[in-house]
Amino acid sequence: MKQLNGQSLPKARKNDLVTRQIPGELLVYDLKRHKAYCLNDTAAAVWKGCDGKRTVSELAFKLQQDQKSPVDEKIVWLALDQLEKSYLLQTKAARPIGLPALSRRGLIRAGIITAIALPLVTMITTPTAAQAGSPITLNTCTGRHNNDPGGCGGNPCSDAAGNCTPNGNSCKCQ
Amino acid sequence: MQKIDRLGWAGGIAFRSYGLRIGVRVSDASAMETVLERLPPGWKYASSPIVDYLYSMIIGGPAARSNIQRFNLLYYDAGRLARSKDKELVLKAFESDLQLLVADNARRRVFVHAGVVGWKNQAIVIPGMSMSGKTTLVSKLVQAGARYYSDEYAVIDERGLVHPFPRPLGIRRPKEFETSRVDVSALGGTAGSRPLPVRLVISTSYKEGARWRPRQLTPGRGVLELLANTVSARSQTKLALATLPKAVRSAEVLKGVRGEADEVVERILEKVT
Repeated sequence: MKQLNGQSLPKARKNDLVTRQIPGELLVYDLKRHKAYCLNDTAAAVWKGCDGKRTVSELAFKLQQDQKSPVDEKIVWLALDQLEKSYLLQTKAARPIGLPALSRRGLIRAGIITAIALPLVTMITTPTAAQAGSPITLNTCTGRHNNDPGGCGGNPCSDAAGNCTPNGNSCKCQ
Repeated sequence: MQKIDRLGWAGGIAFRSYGLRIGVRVSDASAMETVLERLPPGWKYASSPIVDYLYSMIIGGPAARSNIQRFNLLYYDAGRLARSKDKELVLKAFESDLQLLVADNARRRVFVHAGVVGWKNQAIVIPGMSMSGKTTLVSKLVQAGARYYSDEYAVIDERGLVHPFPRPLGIRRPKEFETSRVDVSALGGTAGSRPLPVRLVISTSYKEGARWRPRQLTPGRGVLELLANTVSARSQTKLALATLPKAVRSAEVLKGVRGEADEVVERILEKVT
């Protein structure tokens, strides 16, 4: 872990990720966790700047230059918090003692309003192929032999009240 | 697999569907007609009998010398998918598994679990899981004059255009789980045939008594909404990430719960100019 004056420097994770830049946003897919993220411009700029060599102050300065607008360091910390929660950092930055947990709402309340958008990372978990398809019908499920994959071993399959899992070929047994 | 291969096969077919070569063989030639009805829309006979994926169906029925009823069996390669005395159940399992196989492995196409209609030569895509009310909304849009494209999959090509997947609609009666197949003509509608650009993506689900007050999402969030319903999101991630942004690039993406389908149909169609 790289350190500067005892502080670890944030480094973006690059392994097992697929990225796609679209205007104003960056899409990132985590091949390990099967989660997809949408980073807005600010979060994407911070993530791209995390090369393991820059301090948080330097990241804020770089963001300021890129966006041509003053940037409070707390904005960078908010982005780093979100990136860390999303497992998009290989090395996280050491948090200064006394820096409270940050939120978008908290920054707005604290009067930190800038010309740039506050960082935002949105996440979804992608489905398995079977989850994305229609579930099998109750009769089909019941028609499976006990020993078949997804068979209910003699127990009745879940009823039509929504308890039959949309999990392709497997039924949820009662 | 060798054991299954040794069984006597009375009929079979090799066909192509979305770039995949698939085979089906049956123990009773008279079952072929019903098998053909279950193949994905747009399938074509393959020129070669060599296939990448193989289904085998053993047709049951009364045994010759006793009153014992034999099981109908369905295999995919060497694995058994279904076993039932009711042939219809086995055929449904075949159709469901085959559709998923094609959606997950299709080459140069991304299958998003969604309802699709065409309106003013543009597509309205309604992604969502089963039981979210997609088919209900699609059927109401068709009754209002939109062209039917699919109630199951939005098939998106590399240019971001949506292709039809016009299987009969699977309509559920209230409080029932089973669906019955209804041809689009029975709703007074017609199916579209040309690929269309996406104009509107509506991420919604039915909630009793709700009023549709959708919020607009950014294109990136729109891609996530589609990706959350993409069959091959895990198996063909790069293709999905390259294709879906093209589909939403000139689309409006709206998200929010809705009440009755009748109440939102007009508002949805008005959004497509």
